[in-house]
Amino acid sequence: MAIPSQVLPGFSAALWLQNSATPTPITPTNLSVWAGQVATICGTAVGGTGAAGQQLNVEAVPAFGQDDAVANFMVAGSRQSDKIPTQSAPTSMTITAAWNPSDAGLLLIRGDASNGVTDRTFVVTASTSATSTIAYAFNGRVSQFTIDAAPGAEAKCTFTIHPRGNQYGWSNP
Amino acid sequence: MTLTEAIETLATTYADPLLIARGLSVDAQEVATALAAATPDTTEFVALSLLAQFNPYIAPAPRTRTVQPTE
Repeated sequence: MAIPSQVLPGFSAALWLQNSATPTPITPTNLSVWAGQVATICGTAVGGTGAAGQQLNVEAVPAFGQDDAVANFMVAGSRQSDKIPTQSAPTSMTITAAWNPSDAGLLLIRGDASNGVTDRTFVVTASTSATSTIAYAFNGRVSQFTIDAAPGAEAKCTFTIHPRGNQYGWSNP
Repeated sequence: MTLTEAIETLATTYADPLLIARGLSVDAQEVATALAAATPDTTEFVALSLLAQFNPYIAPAPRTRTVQPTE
């Protein structure tokens, strides 16, 4: 299939993760390969197979990408200074989900946060149909898993995924 | 390093693929030929695309013959 050629609505985004307790993350080169790699993590609703992954039920998929640092160079006598992108860090994703203690995905996240060094492949898909999907796959570690059990509302859990540097790729069915 | 070894290196590393591809010494013409024959959305295609960035193949210009005008 081709890359979708349309403006995608934000609510079409979904988050998927490898469903093994001890996952072997996809290598960075293969994070750009849909067939047999990223597709195994994504469900059939977005064109994947779901053989080795599952959807994580989150309230919203946060912004993802990279946070660039910028150096500002000034030359005496020059009217304008020059801003040059320098080092770039992947954007950490702080995610809120309804806390269900039996949700298999959230239990994996809770375990990863407790462990701290578990590398897992996550996929953010934006899709309007199984044949119109774009996937951003990355490897990351989970930290800071907290549960907010306020009595006046549903219990929520919040956690942060820290993507590993240079370990991401784009693909589509 | 053979092209097969370079592709295997890129397919299995967890380091920055761009950084690794930059340091792999491969034959540019071989990369270009393999990339033209590779199937998109495969590990081989992605690895070859990375290698092609740092090993661009420029086909030699065709030889031209100069014909002297006859009087």
